[in-house]
Amino acid sequence: MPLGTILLGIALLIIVVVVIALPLLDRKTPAVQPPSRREALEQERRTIISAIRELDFDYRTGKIDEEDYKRLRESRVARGAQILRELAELDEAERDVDAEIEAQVARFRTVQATDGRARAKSVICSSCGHAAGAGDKFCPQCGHPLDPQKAQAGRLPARSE
Amino acid sequence: MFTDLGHLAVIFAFVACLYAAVVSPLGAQRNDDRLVQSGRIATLMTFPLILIGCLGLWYALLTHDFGVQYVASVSSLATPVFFRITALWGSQNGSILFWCLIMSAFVAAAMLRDWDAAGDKPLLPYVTMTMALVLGFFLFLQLFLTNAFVRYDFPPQDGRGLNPLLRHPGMIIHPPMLYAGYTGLLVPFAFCVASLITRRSDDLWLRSSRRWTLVGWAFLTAGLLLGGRWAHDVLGWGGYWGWDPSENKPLITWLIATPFLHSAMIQERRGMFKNWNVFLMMLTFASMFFGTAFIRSGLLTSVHAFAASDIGPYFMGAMIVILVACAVLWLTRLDVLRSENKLDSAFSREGIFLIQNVLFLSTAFTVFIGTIFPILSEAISGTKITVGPPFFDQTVGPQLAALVALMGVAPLLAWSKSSVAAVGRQMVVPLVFALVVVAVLFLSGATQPVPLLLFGLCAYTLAQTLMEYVRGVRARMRSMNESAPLALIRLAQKNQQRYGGYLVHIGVVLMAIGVIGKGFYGYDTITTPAVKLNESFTVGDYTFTYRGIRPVPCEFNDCQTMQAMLLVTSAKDGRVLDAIFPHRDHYPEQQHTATIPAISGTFNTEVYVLLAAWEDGGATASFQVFINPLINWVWIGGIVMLLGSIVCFWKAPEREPVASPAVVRRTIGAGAPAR
Repeated sequence: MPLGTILLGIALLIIVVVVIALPLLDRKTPAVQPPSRREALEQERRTIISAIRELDFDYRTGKIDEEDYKRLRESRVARGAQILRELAELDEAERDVDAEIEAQVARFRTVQATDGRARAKSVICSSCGHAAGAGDKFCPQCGHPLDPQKAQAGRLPARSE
Repeated sequence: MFTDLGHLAVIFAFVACLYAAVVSPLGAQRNDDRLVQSGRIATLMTFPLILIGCLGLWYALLTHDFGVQYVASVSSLATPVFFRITALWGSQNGSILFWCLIMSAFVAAAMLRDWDAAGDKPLLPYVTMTMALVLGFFLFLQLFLTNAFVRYDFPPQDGRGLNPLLRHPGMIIHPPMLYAGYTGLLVPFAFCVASLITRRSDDLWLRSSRRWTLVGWAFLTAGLLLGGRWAHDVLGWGGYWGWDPSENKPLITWLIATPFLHSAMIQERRGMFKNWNVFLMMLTFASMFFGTAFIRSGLLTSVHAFAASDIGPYFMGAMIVILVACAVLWLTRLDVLRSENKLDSAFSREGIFLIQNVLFLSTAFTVFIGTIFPILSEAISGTKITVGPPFFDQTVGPQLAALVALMGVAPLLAWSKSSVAAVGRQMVVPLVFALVVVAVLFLSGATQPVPLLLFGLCAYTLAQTLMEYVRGVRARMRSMNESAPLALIRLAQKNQQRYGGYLVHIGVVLMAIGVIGKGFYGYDTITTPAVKLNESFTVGDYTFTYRGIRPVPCEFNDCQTMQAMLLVTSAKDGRVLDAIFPHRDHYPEQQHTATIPAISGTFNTEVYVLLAAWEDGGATASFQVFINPLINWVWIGGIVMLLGSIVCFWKAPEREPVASPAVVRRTIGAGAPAR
């Protein structure tokens, strides 16, 4: 095999190896998530909707008798409604969790804002004279203990639920 | 240099396949997307690598590098450029490489799709693994058994030239089409396997691979048609189909893939037949290997004898491995493949699809038995008995007729449940049409009962299928207030698969008309004794007068052509219709003689004449004459089938029916909770 071919071959090999290895240098991310309940429900919802549409179309083109049509449609719709209800429950549950997180974040922000304001009219460290925040137990400058009663006021409030 | 680089590239592709087959499932097991992506890229890279391999071989073919054994075996200094390009798949070794190229193109296209957006990323690791394993098998064959890059120590001065049989446009497009058909079906197979491994019970694999299945099916159909056309033009079979093992092999795959396309619809709509679809998909894929195993091993003699080699046992081994692996996978997943719904009524579209499925499989099985009969008979009685076209015509013919009849009934039935009254109502118009057609044919002299019945059946199914469009258009016009043309377009857009499918049905019926015409009203005569110079003979409505034979320059410079001349006149009124020149091309280098037909006649009736033999420098000659009424409908039907399949897959049907909350509430109605 001539030298040129060997060199070209090596170049090709390097390109291939680098391209294939590139993804390995990324940060690790999970490859597979198990199918969730929501996915399964969404899937069945699609099936049901297309089944109902087909049924309507069959009825309109005269392929099915009215009686059968009504009965089948009713049972499909009932199943569809059940799926939607389950999906809505999932939504609700997720919304609860979301709302909880949102509420905590909001509370935290309020506290921080209060802290900020408190800091504006802060207590002065009796040791070094540095202005410390209202919630602080110790002076951020020298570590001298501050008035414990003032520090108590700024604590994160407990969950109300 | 480029050729050797091509060889190296193919070796790299093989290694990339092995890497991907290991690293992808490992990524899934360790839940590490980096490994999965790396495997995906490795599989993707096989396409450019194999392309470099093919370019290398093309370079050798174009530059007459006879040092490469393959180049010397399929081309010569005299081979024109065009045939030097197609010579890439002109023989076993190159065709396996070319097969790998097409397969890797499909694989790369599948790897390039946006898996996240398609929502089927959980299947990716195992789809990659399956594809890499299958492609790796073919690359293994290429590199270790049928290497197209092997060189002579002492290169010959000139090559042997391309097999004369393959110097036909049909033969140039036919193999790529067939390969694309086969390898296209690898995609749904890989999705099916991935779905089973990940224990999914839904129809994700069907939905994700639906378009690929349709594309693969369309290519397979096109490959079959082009193969038939090639046999008609070059092999001198007198028709479109000779029940040769090499034709039967893709036909068997087609006969299994077609019911799969239908029963997949049931799973998507009703969540039923899950086991059955998995079974059909696996059978489709295994059938690919079956045919190749038998034909390329030389166990069965066929027109593809030039492709015979020792790779047969490997294909056989691969088929057994695939069957066993699939069976194990399937049996251990039976619990997740339970049906979501029960069959509401046997008198429904699901019910009739089931009958259709069984009928298709029994047809496939019949062709299978007929094809391997020589092997069976040799094993049992010790003598090789080949069953010919009469066996197939008599056993497969009625089953195909029954399938045409089913095509005329299945669309009338609704999903879930139908009533006899509703079906009966829809049958009236097409039945009347069929009766009128039969009456007209009878009065015009076609009195044989069987073809008359069959033509009636075709007329009925054709009318019924057309009525489906009419009914759909009417329903849209009523409910949407659309004009007829707009309603037709919207109808097809809204349900491409259904109305594209009906177009395929129309193609099948047109094809059936050609088959019946040739089968019942055709002639196949050999002139005995031989005809003397200026003597006449009559076949059907045509009289032929032999006017002599002479050598003529051949189309290619490595052959000698003897051409006969016949004058065709009408047997009824003696009118001269045509002069035809059937000829025989002899290739001394290849020790091959091609009998090239002369084709004449009208659109409705084809006259197909072969020069069978001559003596005493042409003092006498004998001819084989076929009169093929309606045969052109076979080709027209084929084109309509392809058009229909294009309608089916042209633009992907919506991945999910538009399911905005508003639409859902409208469809589902009062049961939906307020959001």
